[in-house]
Amino acid sequence: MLKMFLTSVLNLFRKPATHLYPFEPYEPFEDYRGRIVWNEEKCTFCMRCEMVCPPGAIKIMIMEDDTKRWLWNPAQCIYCGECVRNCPFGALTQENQYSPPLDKSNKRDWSEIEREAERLKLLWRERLRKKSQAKKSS
Amino acid sequence: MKELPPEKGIRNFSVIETTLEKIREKIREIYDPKKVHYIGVDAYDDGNKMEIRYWFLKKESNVVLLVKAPFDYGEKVPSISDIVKPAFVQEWEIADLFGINIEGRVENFFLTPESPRAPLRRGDKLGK
Amino acid sequence: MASESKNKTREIQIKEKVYTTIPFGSQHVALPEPIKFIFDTENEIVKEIKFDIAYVHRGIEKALTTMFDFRKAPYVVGRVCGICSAAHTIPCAVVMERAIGIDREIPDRAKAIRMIALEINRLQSHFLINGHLAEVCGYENVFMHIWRDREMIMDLADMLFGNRVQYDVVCVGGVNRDIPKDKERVLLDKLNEIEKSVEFMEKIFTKDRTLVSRLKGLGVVSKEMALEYGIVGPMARASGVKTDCRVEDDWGLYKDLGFEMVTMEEGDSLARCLVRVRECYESIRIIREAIKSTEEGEISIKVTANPKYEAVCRNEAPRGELFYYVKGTGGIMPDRVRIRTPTLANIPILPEVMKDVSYNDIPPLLMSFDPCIACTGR
Ligand code: SF4
Ligand code: SF4
Repeated sequence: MLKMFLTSVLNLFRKPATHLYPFEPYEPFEDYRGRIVWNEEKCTFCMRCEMVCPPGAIKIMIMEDDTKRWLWNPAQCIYCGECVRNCPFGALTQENQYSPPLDKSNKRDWSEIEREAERLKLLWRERLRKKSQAKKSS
Repeated sequence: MKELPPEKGIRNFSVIETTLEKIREKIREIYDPKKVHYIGVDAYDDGNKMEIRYWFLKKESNVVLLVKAPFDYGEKVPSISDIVKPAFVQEWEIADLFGINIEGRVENFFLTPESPRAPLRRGDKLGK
Repeated sequence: MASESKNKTREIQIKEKVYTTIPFGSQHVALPEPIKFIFDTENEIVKEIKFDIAYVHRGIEKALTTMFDFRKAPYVVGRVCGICSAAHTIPCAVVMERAIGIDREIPDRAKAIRMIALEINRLQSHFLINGHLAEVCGYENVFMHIWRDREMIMDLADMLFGNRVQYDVVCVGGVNRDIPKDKERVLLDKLNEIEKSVEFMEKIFTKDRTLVSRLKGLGVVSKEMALEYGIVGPMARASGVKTDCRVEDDWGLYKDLGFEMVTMEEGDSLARCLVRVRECYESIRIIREAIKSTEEGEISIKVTANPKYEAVCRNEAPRGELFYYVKGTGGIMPDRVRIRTPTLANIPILPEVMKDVSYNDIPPLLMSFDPCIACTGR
């Protein structure tokens, strides 16, 4: 009984077991698997990351004028780090920060992007085929 | 787990092939709760024919055992849940996933009524 | 609202006895799982049980054969169940390796890290379910204590593998990240703390009068019954059945590290709970041994071939035996993947055990069986 009383009095002065989040910042661990950061200079658009990504959170768009865009969907990503390990040029890194919440400024219609990327890729293959044919015939 | 030499592309279990009529006898022969652990029921559909598969583990030698029997689409498959008591749950599951007509099955045990019928079936599609 | 509940609690007459039908789940305070039980009760005694698990089928078996290639498979099956994520990824990777034919070449360090991941997974799962068991017994205080200590294990996983829940550390051919020396030290320190909280848990579940008298003798499963129904995992070991896939399958180093099986004879809810508590000690010991026995070094091998054999793998998930079967055809996707989750093996016995039990004992009884219906639905 006395022990119980002592424990309850001492508990009044103990630190809480939870994080007091808005008042104390929460620091993720050093090796937390957080957001993916893309380095445009190093990337050669080899499409390796798009191939290995399990949920298909990376899409590469090849525009009709042959410029390329690299797109990443933070809401679909499972943060496995497979793309980072597989990038042959070290263009991708994984930070230990959480990815930003989705709001109006960065929200995109991903299914639209997927469809568009597929369509553009078909066009691109067609162009490549035509080019190689032209080469052969010339 | 004991390693068996890979034969016919099979890596680490042994196979007993039988027919649908004989499968109950065969399982009654090998199954003894003290010596054989029942693992599960599975089915396989290669597009032309189906197969019902029962997995067991021989406890002493630590070998996984597969008893399988081929059958045609729509054929009635006998249940073994009177020999192997816990088999009924997975039999109903497989019946739902493959659209197999297993004795004593309960419809929509594993899939909701609105979901697609027999999602794992390859040949001879069911309606819808 | 009132008329609805009146409709639900309808009285039916079977063999001149008046039974009251009570639905339990699929949404219920004591049951955070999508399973529906329908109990026909006489006064408070449950007489007949029906159940329905048709809520959460996600078609993962099909997705593995039509959408994801075999290298992505471990990441996909990690999402079968959040609590046993590592327990699923490991056998999936192992069975793919066996189907390719490279399972003999996996480096020892990779095996050791897989074991550490699995044991941390087991620790947090056992803490979770024991805390939950205390909660459904009405002992919220113990629940909070155990879950506070569970947070320590979650943080440990976060530090080692980069995420609290989905470790994603296992891939086909080895593991993704090594455990460096400084983290090993932190891990060993934390294990001492965790051991203390396991001791606390053991003290509660053996000494506390409320919990012991509530759980003792509840839902007894005899050894014969356990064998007959083929139940697996801690539930089988609590009835004295010597079964543990960690020694029966050989993907890890368990045999070399001298693994000891925890068994009890009573077979009641308390025994199932205590088997889990005592397994925590074994898990902690295995983690320590695994760290000691291997050095930092090669953690994965290159995978160049596609799965072409048929193979099986059995792994001991926190809830029992987990069975994977793969049929490879030499293509990038396997032809058939079969996942037999532990709860699927433990469900058939439930109606048998719940018969003639008072209705208010059902939640602790069910919780002591540790059901995971999300796994079962797949
Ligand atoms: S793998 Fe690396 S180099 Fe290749 S497309 Fe992706 S980011 Fe660019
Ligand atoms: S971390 Fe994984 S899921 Fe996310 S983009 Fe990379 S490969 Fe895809």
